[in-house]
Amino acid sequence: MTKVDAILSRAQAASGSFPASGPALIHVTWDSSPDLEQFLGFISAYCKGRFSTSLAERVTLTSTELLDNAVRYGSLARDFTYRLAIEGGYVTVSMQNTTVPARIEMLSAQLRRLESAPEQVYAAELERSMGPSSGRRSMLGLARIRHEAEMRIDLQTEANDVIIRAQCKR
Amino acid sequence: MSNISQVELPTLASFELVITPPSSVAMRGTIAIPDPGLLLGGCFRRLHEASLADGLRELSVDVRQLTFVNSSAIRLFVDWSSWVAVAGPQGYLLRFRTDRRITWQRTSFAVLQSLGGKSIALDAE
Repeated sequence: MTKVDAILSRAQAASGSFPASGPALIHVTWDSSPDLEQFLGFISAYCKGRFSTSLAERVTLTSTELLDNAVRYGSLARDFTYRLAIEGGYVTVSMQNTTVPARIEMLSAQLRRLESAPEQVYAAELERSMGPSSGRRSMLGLARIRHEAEMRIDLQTEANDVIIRAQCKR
Repeated sequence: MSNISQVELPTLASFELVITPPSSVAMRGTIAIPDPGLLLGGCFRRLHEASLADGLRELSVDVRQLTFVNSSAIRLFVDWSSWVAVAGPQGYLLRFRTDRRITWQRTSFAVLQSLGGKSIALDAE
């Protein structure tokens, strides 16, 4: 992938089966602005080859929306790290990027709201999308991950970085 | 010649839009670019205006082969639904043909229909 350092775990790729836990299946870092369509093609093809149709669709949606969010709201518009892993019978997708404390606080509040009523928040975010596009700063991407992809979402911080993890049963 | 047949088609490698006059549109592929509104928003708007100018009672938009869209692209459909809702009785029925096996279509269009009221119809296969 252009501008992308993609490292597939060769041992897992060769084995054709997932361990219960272990290193990332895919670990991608970007030091410049990612090509979202290229990433979609890559992750979609990978997931179709590895997961059931339904799970592949969910992981692809989650991966794409997390990267889109990082590009849109990350403070540097670069330095993104994507990770896909199988951990203890769960598929985990995570995205790490640099951000500002205010953004982390806002994300935490949004996730709490989303966790309490995923479907209602999803519908509300769609409704909020109506009207002029200027100034929109919605959480539709996260709402899709929670409601459409049915992933649990949590948030961690490391110094100036935020790590959003989305997880579902394999 | 109908107005809708003269709408200029967008150029996006992963996405194809086909207009079949007098009242059908089909979309195929994926939309994952960061700001799809810049490339596609104008086309959607022109399709809406052409449908009004042609006096259509109904426009069918087939998205069954549109397998993935990002959240920014979903907003394009939200916008279109809101334009039709605003047009009211002088407007047309916007009928989306969807595939319920595709998650984004199943979840998004159900909500859109509830937001758009009588202006939106859904044929989910």
